[in-house]
Amino acid sequence: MSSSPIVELADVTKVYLLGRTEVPAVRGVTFNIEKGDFISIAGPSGSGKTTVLNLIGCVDTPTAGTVRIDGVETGGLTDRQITSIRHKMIGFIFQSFNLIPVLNVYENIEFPLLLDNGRPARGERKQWIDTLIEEVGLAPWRGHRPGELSGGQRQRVAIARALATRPRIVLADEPTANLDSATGQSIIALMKKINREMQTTFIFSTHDATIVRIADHVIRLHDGTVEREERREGNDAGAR
Amino acid sequence: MPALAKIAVRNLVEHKDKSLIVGVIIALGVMILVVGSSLLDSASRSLARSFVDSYSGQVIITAKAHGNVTLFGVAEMGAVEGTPLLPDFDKLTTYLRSRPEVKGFTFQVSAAEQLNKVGEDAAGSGPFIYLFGIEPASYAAMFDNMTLASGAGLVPGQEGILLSKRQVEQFRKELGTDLTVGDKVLIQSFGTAIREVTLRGIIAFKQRNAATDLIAYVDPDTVRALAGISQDTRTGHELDAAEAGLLSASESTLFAENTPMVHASSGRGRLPAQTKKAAAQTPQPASGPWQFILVNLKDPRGAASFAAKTNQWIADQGIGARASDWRTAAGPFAIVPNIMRFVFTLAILIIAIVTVIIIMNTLMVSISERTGEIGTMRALGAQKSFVWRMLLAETLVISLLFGVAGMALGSLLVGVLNHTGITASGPLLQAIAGGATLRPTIAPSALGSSILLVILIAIIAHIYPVRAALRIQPVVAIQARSE
Repeated sequence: MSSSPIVELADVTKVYLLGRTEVPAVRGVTFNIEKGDFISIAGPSGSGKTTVLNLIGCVDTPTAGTVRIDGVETGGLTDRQITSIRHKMIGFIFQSFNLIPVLNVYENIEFPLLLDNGRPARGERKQWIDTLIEEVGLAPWRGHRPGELSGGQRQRVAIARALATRPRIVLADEPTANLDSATGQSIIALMKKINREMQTTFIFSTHDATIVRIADHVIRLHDGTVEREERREGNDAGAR
Repeated sequence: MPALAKIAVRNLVEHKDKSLIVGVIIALGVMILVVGSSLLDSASRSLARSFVDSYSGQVIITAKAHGNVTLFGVAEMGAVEGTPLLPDFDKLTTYLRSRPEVKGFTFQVSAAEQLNKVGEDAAGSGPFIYLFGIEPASYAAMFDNMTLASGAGLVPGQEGILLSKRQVEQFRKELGTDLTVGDKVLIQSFGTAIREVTLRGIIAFKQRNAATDLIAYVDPDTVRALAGISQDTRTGHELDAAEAGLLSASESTLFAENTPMVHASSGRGRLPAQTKKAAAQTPQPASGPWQFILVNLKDPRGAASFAAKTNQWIADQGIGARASDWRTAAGPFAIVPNIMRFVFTLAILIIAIVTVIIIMNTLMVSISERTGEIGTMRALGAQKSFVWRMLLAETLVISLLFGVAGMALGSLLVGVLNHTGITASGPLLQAIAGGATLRPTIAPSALGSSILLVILIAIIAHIYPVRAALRIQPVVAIQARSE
């Protein structure tokens, strides 16, 4: 494992305009995330968790400061370059699952791979998607559409989809918020299992203390600033 | 199935109601386009065939004038111009005889006059009519649309007029008197000339069109006399004393005298045999000045190139003449289909604009409903071009699917109309239909233009919604609260 961090935020500020009023969402945030981390960005509502995830996920740009993903500074990149970074390096798990309703489980997981001009080849692609479906335990539902699945199943599809392009980072914004606690725990456990198996960096935001407990590394935000950083080496809580 | 097409088709199925509304509008628009174009094309073809076969031939040669020289006068905006006489007639006929493309040709002079019966009030309101002064032999060889119902045909060198059954009927209605073969007919020009001619025959037509009952066939000298055309075509001619005396002659001296009566005893239902025989040979030089040479070609498809070639030869020879196609010859009758096509094109344009607006509006609603989905795709790494192609695929799929359905329906309707036929009862309808009965056939151009129009509509309709879709930022995926 290289010693350079996969994510670096240096003195990052993000200000939103609400009419003519400037609303600072993040103020001078600095932290690094190492490769293979299983990290929780925690904090109460309005603390800036989602904004930080948006900045790391290259779906938003900072007002000031720098964001580096695997050594690449995201400021000043074109839309095409930023989109390419998202596609190749980052997987997303959304709070509301955000599956494509007209595609079934298999096709939803396959979708990010179809954006890469037919790479990998069809056979290799199918094998990998089947592996992911097995991994998230959805083999019996592979032909079902999102509308026919439970919340937990949908989030499992989202996890498999996030892993489809073998990204370096998986971002999950409140992945358990729309799930009951037992399902939420199982989803986090699944994420941790994959983190351990594939060495994929998982970054998830949550305000649920039970979920935070499972993370190896916690960055606590409050009012847009880093309140505290905690590291728990070899934390096996929640892993299955 | 490629991912884009799969997503497009499934989205259309998923939003059945919207797809159906847009689809039905597209299908109806295409159906109207196919049926309308087929009707107009068929009518145009019918009119062209009817004129070429009955009046003009494939190419018509006239003298040059400011306006278009038609068989019905000179069409010129805001001015009155008499139909000029053909210059260098002998040179022109020699040229035509030398051309291998030429199947045959004939000559004509024409004028618009009013008919009355001798013994009736000459100032009465008899029908106005176009007089076609023809050279009977070569004319009969070129145009076989008319048959004799009674009497005889015209004979070279003999005065006479042929009227149609309907014209005779019209004559009876307007003047309350019957007209039979052998009767004398007074023809009054818009000037002062009056001419008395014998009704030689009553004719019927194999195919009718809007011009059929507006035309009567007469000997060319009668037309020349009525139109004030001198038999001597020399220019700058100085009148001798006798000729000058005619200028001050009373009106009665302008009447034709000693017009021999010829009753046909045979040949009912066909033109005289000697006429046909003469016409089958190369046309003989016809005496007297002419306004038109009507040319039939061996290959009718070569009309445009032959006209162009002839015009080049005419220019090289320095002759003040012009070769044109049937449209020029048909004059006002060729305008009606053009007006109809203009109105139809306008209607199609309006339908196309309405369709574009409806598709655009539906797409905008669809995009606003799918903001989260599009944002998610962008967040997952879909470039803007992917979103553009996806929406274009959806628009094209629905447009082509229902466009083809519209074409099938339109073709079916044209097939039914072809089977039943559309009867045009009045002159206006006949002018529109290009004949008495229209049997429309599918215009391949209508199918081609339908496809092009549908694709064009799809492309135009998706531009604005796509711009809106491309403005959707991936961050909305994070904010999305729906599936």
